[in-house]
Parts: sequence; structure tokens; C-alpha cells
Amino acid sequence: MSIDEARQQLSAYLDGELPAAERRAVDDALAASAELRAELDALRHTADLVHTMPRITAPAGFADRVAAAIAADGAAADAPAQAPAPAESTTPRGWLRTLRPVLVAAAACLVLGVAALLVTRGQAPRSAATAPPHDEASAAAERPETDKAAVREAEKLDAVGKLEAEEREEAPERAALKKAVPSRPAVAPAPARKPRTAMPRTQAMVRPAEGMAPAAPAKTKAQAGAVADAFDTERLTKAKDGARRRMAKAVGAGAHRAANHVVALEQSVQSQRDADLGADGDGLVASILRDGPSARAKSLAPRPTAPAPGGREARTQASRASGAFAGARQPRGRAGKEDAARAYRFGAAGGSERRVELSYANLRECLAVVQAALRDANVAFAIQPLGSGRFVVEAALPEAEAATLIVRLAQGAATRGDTLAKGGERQAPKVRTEPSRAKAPVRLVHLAVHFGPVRPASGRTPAAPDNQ
Amino acid sequence: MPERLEGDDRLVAQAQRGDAAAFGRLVERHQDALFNGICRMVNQRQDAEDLAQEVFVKAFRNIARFEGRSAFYTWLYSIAVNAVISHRRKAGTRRRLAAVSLDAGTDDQAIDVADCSTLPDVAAEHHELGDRIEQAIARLDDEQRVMVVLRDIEGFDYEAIGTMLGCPQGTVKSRLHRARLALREQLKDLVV
Repeated sequence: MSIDEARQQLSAYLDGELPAAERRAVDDALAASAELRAELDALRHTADLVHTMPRITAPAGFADRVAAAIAADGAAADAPAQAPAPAESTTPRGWLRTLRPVLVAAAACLVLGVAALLVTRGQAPRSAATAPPHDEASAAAERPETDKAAVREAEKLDAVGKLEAEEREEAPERAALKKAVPSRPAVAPAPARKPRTAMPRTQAMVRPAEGMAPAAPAKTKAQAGAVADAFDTERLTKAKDGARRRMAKAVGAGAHRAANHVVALEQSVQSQRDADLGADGDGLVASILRDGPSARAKSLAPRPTAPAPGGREARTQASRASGAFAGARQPRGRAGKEDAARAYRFGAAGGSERRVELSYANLRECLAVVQAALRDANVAFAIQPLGSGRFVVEAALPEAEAATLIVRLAQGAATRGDTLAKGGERQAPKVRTEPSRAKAPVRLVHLAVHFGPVRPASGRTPAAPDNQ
Repeated sequence: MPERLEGDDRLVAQAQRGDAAAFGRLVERHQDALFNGICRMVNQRQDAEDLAQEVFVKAFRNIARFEGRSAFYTWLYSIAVNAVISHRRKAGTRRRLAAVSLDAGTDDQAIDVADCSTLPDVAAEHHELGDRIEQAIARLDDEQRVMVVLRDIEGFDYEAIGTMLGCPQGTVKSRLHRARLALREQLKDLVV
């Protein structure tokens, strides 16, 4: 081997990557050439210098953000589906089964939060000094044009900047919320339930609360980082083992959005009072419906994502990869805002819709029943404040389970409410249903259960429940 | 080449069966090494964080396709290298992005190399030396930088590097040699 040939082999020689014969040849060349030995030393020294560079460690909370990104990406629904055989955890439910207790806990926290805040608001004396500093719902009622302009302005921001701005706005709200919801650890995870079988149901379970946008994959870092702050790590630590807790933070987004809903509900009630819109809150309801689910929900709503390149199969794969949020895109065209919001919340998968109206006399009891029913039903749900103590619980679930849930809600909240309203005389609950509007082959029922206080002046005899 | 970490295979098998917690442990095991390597390749902490997160998400999505023919970490790093190459490609004309960003003094994003030192004078010395090496690596072209990172920082053998880059070992050998010569040239006042 010539000196020049040996020179080309010096790096591999240094790394011990030469076959024995070539190594011996380089050894001979090195013995014969001082210049070659100097080059080898220089290369070795160069490699040593690179070795001296300090290792950079991942930033704190990186694993949590990865978990949140995975959850938001929806990869959970896709990856295990490709896994080979064995029993339990080979289905997409394996991941969800891991997260289910946390999902249920987050849902229960939401209901408890609603209860705590509404009851607190309902009993506390009205005081202008106690109005929250960033009462968006109130602002919407009092200065709709200003608010709309603000929303339009916010929509011009890029997603990251928007989220950061909202995080800053929400900081005092989250602090207030933490104070107002002291009972989180008391919420026990739901007992293990029978395995789910319908894929749409699986997707619904990991879908975030209504009106709140899922994190688009390209934006998940900022979003996941933001929601991680809102997730109560310490309380989860007490309830879960360490490994599960890690991945459980993936649903921090759900908890955070649930917190937003509680704040929104509180704001709605306060707004209705401040604006003095009357006992039924029609003005506020109208404003909410006119402006969409809420200014916050609107500002967080996802932008339609571009179709994945690579043909139909690739798009299908991409759609599956984005998992729970694959169908959660803003519809266009003739759909009204309310329909659009509903379509967004439940995806574009079609299915029937069912609307049920229930009355209550005691909000605390009503929420307790709602909490229990939703926990037992173990479904993804969303609560939207409608003002004047009215709110709607929406959920997407199979037909048979929807009927069960309606019965639970009707037999609980409405019966108790009407009984109290009638001075202790037990009567059938007042339930009014609207005919379902089938749009496509039924896979899920989009259930909207509206709750409102019993109106003593109405004088109507409650009707028997109609569960369709 | 990094040791095949004890227990990786078991965790991978669990993750392939849908055990999210097992994948979480894999993330914890490899996040620092992966983040370090990506940081050195792109020389932007924020970009590195985004890319590392993207790599883990992709890994989770495709974990069922991992057949165990290489170490999990090698497979993970393959995804990382592809992500970095794609990222650099998107950067387009900013081929020497890292060097430019360092020259522009974006201290908030540049990598802090002094955080491992304990004494002030040692820290200063390390900082200066680290800066020099860092800039030298940053000024390599993309292909050379990847080679230096994979071999001299991460310690992969030629076979693993060839697998990651999809090229034969002979190509790895020649590319790495050119990269080291280029690096030596930039650091000649320290090396000679």
C-alpha cells in the first residue's frame, strides 16, 4: 500500500474499521512515513476534541411534551393497529385503556368544576368588584363588535403566537380555577369496563372537549407545552403509577380544555347577570349562537389542513395517523355556524342527532347526576354554557348507549328537579325531544342534552320522557 | 456504537403491543442522546427540540414496523437523520444556517456549552474551546456534519451509519475521512 493509499484509510484505521490485512498494510505505511504518523495524530486529536464537547440534555419536560404530541397527533390510534398478534393490547384500545382512567378523571374534574363554580356563583352576592378581569363572555355580551374585531385580529396571528397570547390571558383564570376546584383528588378513576368495539367510539373518547381545537401536529409543541402546565401532576402522581403518569399527561390537553369550559361557563353566568338580560338569558343565548360556540372556541378552532400528498391511500393513512381528529375539520358551504360547530366537535362522520331538554330545580343535584351519568357512560363529552343557568351536554356515542344515558339523565336531574319544583310531589320529569335528523348511515348518535332551570311560572305539566 | 441498552427490546415489544407507558420509558431513556445528536446536527436548540419531538412521534407511529434487526436506538437515530436531512433541505439556501446563526449572535438559541463545567476558569476555557469546536462543526457542509456527529459524537460504527444513510460502508469511510480533514483544517491551530 502506497503512502497516499494509506492516507485515505487513516480514519478507518483510527476507528478500527479496517479488515486485518488492510490494517497491517497501514501499519507498514505508518512505520515508513513520519508525515503519515503526524497526519494520524492530527486526525486523532481532531476526533478527541469533538469528543470533549459537552453532552446537551433534553429540556425539562421534554418527555411530557412528546407524550402530549403523540396524543394530539393521534398516532396512538394508528400505531398499535399495525402491531402483530397478542391479545389485550393489540387493539387500538390498548393505548386508550391506558389513558381511560385519566380521561374519566378529567371529565369528572370538569363536572365538579362546573358544580363548584356555578354553586359558588349562584350563592355569592353580586359584586362588580368580583368580576374577573378577562371576562370574555361578558365582553361579548356588552361589546359584541369589539369582541368580534378582537377575534378577527386574533385569527390573523399565527397559531403559536395565538396560543401564547391566550396562555397569558388564561393565567389568572387558571389560578382562579385551581382555587375553585379543590376536590380533584377525590375523583376516583372509573372502574374497568367492558372493551369497546366501535372505532368511531374510540376516536370520540380521545377527542377533546367541544369547541376546542385539537392540536395540529405541526403545532403540538407549543400547544402541548401550554397544556402541560395546566395538568395537575401531583394529584395524578397520587392516583397513578409513575409510568402511566408519564403518558397520562398526554391528555393534559383535555384537562386544560375542560378547565376552559369551566371558566367559560362561569363567565357566561356572570355575563348574563352583568348584562341584566333577564331571567331566561335569551339575549346571551342568542349572542352565543350568533357568534359561534364562544370567542375562545372560535379562536382556537383548527384551520382546515391540506390534504396529505401521495394519493388516496396516503391520504387515508395520514387521516388515520391524525387519529381522533381526522374528521374534525371545519365544514364549509351551507352549514350554519351551529351546525359547523357541531360537525367540528363530532367530526364529519355523519350519524343521527338527538336533542333532549331537561329541567332542574337544584343545580347542585343536577350536576351530581350529570357527573355520575357521564362517568358511568364513559364517553367523550362537552359542556357548553348557554347562560342563565342553562347549559348543554353534548356527546357522541352509540345509539343504545345514548338511550341509556338519556334515561339516566332524565330519571336523575329532571325528576329531582321537578319534584322539588312541585313542592315535594313526585312527578314525571319534563323531557322534550326533537325528531332526529338522519344525515347518513347511523354510526353514532350526536346527543345534545340541554339543561335549564325549571320555570315556576310556566305551569306546564311535565311530560313523560321520550327517548325515541 | 452505543451499547444496546438493557431492556430496550422488552420495552419495544411492550410498546408494539400498544403499551404507551413502555414507549414513554423508551423516550426517557433516549431523549438526551437523541437531543444531543440532533442539536449538533442542526445547531439550533429550538429546531432540535421540534425535530426530536417529531422523531419520537414518528417512532411511536411506526413502532410496529420495527423488526429488531438493529438496536432500537439505531433505528430511532435513522428517523432522526432523515428528519434532519429533510429539515436542512427545507432550509434551502440556508445551507450554512448554523454558522450564520452563530455569527448573528442568537445567543438565546445557540447551544450553551458551558453548562457542564463547574469552576469559573475551567468554564471559561471550556466555553471558548467548545465554541470553537461547535463553530467548526457548524461550518462543515451538511453531509460532513452528519458524519462527524454520527461517528465522533454518537459513536456509531460504520455499518450502523451506512444503514442510517442508506449507503455502503466504503462510502461512509470516505465521507467520514473527508469530514475529519475538513474539521482538522478548521481547528488546525488547536490540533497541530
